[in-house]
Amino acid sequence: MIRGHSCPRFFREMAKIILSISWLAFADNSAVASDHFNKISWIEFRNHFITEICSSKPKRMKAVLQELGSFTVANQDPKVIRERTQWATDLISGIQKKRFRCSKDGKTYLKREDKFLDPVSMAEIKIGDAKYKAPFLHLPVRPTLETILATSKLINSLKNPGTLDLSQLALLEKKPDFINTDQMAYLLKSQLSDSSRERLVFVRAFKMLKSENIDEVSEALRNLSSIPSRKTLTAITKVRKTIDPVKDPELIEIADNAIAEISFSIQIGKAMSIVYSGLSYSSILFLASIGLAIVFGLMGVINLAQGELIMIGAYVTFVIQECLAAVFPSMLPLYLLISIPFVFLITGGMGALIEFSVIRHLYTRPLMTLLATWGVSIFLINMIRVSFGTQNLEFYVPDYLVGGLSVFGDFLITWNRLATIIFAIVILIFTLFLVKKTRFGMNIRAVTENRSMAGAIGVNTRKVDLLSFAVGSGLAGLAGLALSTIYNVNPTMGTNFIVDAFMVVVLGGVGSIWGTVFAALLVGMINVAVEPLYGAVAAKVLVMILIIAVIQVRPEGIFMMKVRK
Amino acid sequence: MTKSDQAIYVSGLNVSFGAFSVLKNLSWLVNFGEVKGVIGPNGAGKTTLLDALTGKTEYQSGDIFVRGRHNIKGANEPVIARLGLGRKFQKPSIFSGLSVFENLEIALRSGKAILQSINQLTSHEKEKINETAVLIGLSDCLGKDAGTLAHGQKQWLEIGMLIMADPAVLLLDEPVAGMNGEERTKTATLIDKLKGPEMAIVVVEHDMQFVETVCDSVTVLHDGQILVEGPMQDVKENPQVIDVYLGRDSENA
Amino acid sequence: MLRSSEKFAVIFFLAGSLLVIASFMGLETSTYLMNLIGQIAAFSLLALSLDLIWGFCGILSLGHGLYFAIGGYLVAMHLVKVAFEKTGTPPDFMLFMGWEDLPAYYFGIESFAYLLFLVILVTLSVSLIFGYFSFRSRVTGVYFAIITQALVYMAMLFMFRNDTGFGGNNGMTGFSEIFGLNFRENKTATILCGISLTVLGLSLLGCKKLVDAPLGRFMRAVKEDESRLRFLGFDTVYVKLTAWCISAILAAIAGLLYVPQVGIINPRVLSPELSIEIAVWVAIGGRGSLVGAIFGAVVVSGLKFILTGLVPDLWPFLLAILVVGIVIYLPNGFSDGARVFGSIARRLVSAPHRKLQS
Repeated sequence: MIRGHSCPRFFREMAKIILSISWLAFADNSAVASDHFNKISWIEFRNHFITEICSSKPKRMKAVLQELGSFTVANQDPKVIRERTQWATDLISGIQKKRFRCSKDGKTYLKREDKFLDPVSMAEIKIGDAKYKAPFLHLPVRPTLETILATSKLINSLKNPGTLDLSQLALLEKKPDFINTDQMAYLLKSQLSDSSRERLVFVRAFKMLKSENIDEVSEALRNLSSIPSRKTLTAITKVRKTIDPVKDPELIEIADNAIAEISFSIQIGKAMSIVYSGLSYSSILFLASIGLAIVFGLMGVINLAQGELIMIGAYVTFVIQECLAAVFPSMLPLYLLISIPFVFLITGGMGALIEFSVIRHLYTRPLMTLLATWGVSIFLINMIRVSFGTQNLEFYVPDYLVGGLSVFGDFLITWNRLATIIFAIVILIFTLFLVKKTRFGMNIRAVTENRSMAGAIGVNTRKVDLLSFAVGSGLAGLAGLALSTIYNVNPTMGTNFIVDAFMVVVLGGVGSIWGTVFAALLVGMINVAVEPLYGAVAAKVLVMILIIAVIQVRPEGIFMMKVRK
Repeated sequence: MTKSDQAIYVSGLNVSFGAFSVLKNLSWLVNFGEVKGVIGPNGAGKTTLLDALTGKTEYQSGDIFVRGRHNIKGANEPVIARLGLGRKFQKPSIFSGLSVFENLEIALRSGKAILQSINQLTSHEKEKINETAVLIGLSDCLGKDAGTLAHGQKQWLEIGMLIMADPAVLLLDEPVAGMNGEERTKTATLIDKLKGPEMAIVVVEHDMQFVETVCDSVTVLHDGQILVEGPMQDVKENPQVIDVYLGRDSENA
Repeated sequence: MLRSSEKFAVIFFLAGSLLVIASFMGLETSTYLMNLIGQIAAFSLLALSLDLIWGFCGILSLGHGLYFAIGGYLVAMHLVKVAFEKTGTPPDFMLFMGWEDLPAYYFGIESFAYLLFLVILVTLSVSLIFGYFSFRSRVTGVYFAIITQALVYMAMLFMFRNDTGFGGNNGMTGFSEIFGLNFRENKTATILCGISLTVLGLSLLGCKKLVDAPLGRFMRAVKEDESRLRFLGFDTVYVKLTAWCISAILAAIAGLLYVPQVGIINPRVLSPELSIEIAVWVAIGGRGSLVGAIFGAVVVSGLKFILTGLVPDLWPFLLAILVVGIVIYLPNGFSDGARVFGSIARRLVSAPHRKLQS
């Protein structure tokens, strides 16, 4: 665990250093730019802007929008800037919503709540009989319009230092090409949180890629290569094609390096995320099948209702969540933890009931147990279907399970999956302790080894059966709890897990905990690794072939100990 | 003695389960025409030896030759059985849902090729079944379900099933366990009748008196090794054997 | 029960043949009823196929839906191809994929003889390969059951894909005619029902002959004590494999009969639930009794038809209770049931006697 964390931290630090260097470099440029705009006054510019917009000529509109962007930040006084961005925001929204209109003789108005305003001064005016028309927004103009609006809103939202309108930032990330350089420079100068600054630099780098200035491009390339993702890769690959190899051989090299670095990181990230989601699926599989494996070893019985016990576990979790929400809303975020004992006891109790009322009577007829437990499973499915309906349950996801730690490329350590993995490890330790260190565990092992002998030396085999079945069912219920925030929860969800759980039991060997761990990892990994490439069927086929191959050599599973039968 | 006299020849056999070794470098010979007893305390490796001989258990090293020349290493149960090794299990294992006749019929067909095994029985084969039934004393209950037979009759039926395949070696694991005196005598007579130059018979038994009655010579197994071999009278007086059977306490003391 | 197999076989055969002949002579029947009887006959054949392997050889398959589906999908391909030859346009599920023509593997399947050949070929290949590797490595009992279930589940996932040319999750439908008989005609339903009954009768007779033959004795011997048979020098793999393949082909024929009668096949026939249900029919009817298996299929699927219409929410609960109850209290299904009811009836009859005596 500790080593796993240190690696991403290193990358984050590196990224921060690069970002701060690039910010310093950028701050210089903006000072030069602002001087130019001081030559005409703000009021003159506003008139100029309105004329240009009323022209309805796409090229002129685009140009003047960019000028507006630069003008909003061409002042040192934050108050002035806020005033200008407010005006820009008002006017551009007006243009977008066709509340800004021009007449042929050059008169204009902006309509706000049934009032007609002068677009320059924002004072109320009376309008005559002249025909007013909204300036036509050609398609190529729209992205510029939207981007300048978003950036102006962003700057306007800087009233309280450090806060940023994140929805606007997301808009910018979609269309980095149309961002006004001066506005961007201003934004980067102001006080920002690390993550917002990172995102902004990233957005700016996209724009800089298309710059005529070779230095800017190479800087952008370097910036981008530190943040590997599929998006950067496509952007850089596109730019790489436009670079003239004769004119800028160095740039080509930088671009190629960046591409290589990013693709490599993406590959690693991809591999890591496959391993990660494989681990989390394996954890669920382990929880689902450990009970099956122990009970199979003990009684030679497979419980076909195991999948439904998983489902019941998820539903109990849901009920407890709903109860908490109704009675102690403040405790709601902890509902998953609070549910653990309830889920274990309720599903364990159901397991005990199944053992007591069904399995026990079918002692010497394991095949009939399959049918009987199937009967139990359809009973449970329909009980839940009648009382809860067939739709997927909506689980509340507590804040501490939302999101995750972005580590590398597209690889994200999501908290909910991490919680599942840790949970499974805890259960594994608990099970190992139970089986290896307690008297109950010793009895389980004795009965598994030789039932009649264990009975003869005074082990109450019936009680051992009952308790093991209950514990196995309880663990299945916990699997349901663990997967509730990751997978769909509905009455028939059990079927999706039961077949994989069978494969785990067959592969891992009867009654072997480590065998189950190993087989769960194997089946889980194969499923997650093969599924995105060749589909779910291929994954299942592969596992099936593996099983058939394994039982040719070791019919009792990989981990079964050799004993005289 | 030539090779053709050897019914079973075991050489340097090692069998172990995990770290626990059951048979240790065992070498053993059974000749045709012989009735060989195998005795020894529980856990000495008697049943494991039979398991290794019949292909039920894999052995780590060593060789087993059947009828002087067939090395059975790696062969499965049916192949070994067709080489002429017939085995009666400790617990009578017969097809209890089938009649006595059907049991014998199945046994007769089992040794044959698949296609032959689904033909109608020839009159010669029917006669053989009837002869065997007389031999094992079950000619009166040919039509009965085998599951309804008495314990002793089940044991005889199982021996009868083995005979149907004309075996070279009969391996009898505790043939008189759970039998009364009269049944024991009958079993001893049966073994006596079966004895012949074409067949070797191995009897694994706890009942010393029975072993003494039917066996020509005895092998005493102890801790996976052969302790003594020879006629029962000699073996009985061997101090090592007495020690193994009676002197357990003195060893521990 | 066993002895009555021949009687039932003759009844099914005669009833089926009479239906076919009568419909050619212009008999008008209820299409719904004919379809119902025909479907239940197909299910009965399916139950018979499982009983052969489970009741007589002791091998429980929880994946017999696989073979049923092989027969069903192949006959659906045949029907689709026939409709295509007529109209020249592929069925909707292919148009939806943007296919102008049927895929290459539909070649020649408009011929019924070739269809039968394919059904046997595909079923045999699948059952031989799977059976050989499983039996050779001595996979038995619960292990075998859950592996067969995994196999049928896998097949279901495959058939859920839309790009296979088998209709994906919507299934294959849009059939127009079979043997030149239009599906809209009343006659067609009657004839299909008649054929199903006839085939059921013939199969029942065949199975009866099989279990009474030496091969059948070996099958029962495998069920009783497989290792004894091995130590007698008999390689049980081949008996099991033969029984397995025969059973698979019977299941495929059941699918072949079923699909034309319902007019659709979709991957749900491959769901583990259906495969377990087959085992339930056999368990309820009584393993090891050929007529019992048919009886179980008739009772349970008949009840299902009636009750899912009347009380759809209640049916699964009834089925669950029926399964658990019968499995626990009547180990041999209705064969036991008959005995239990018989003894209760006898006691009821004799009760007044005792009263009189006392």
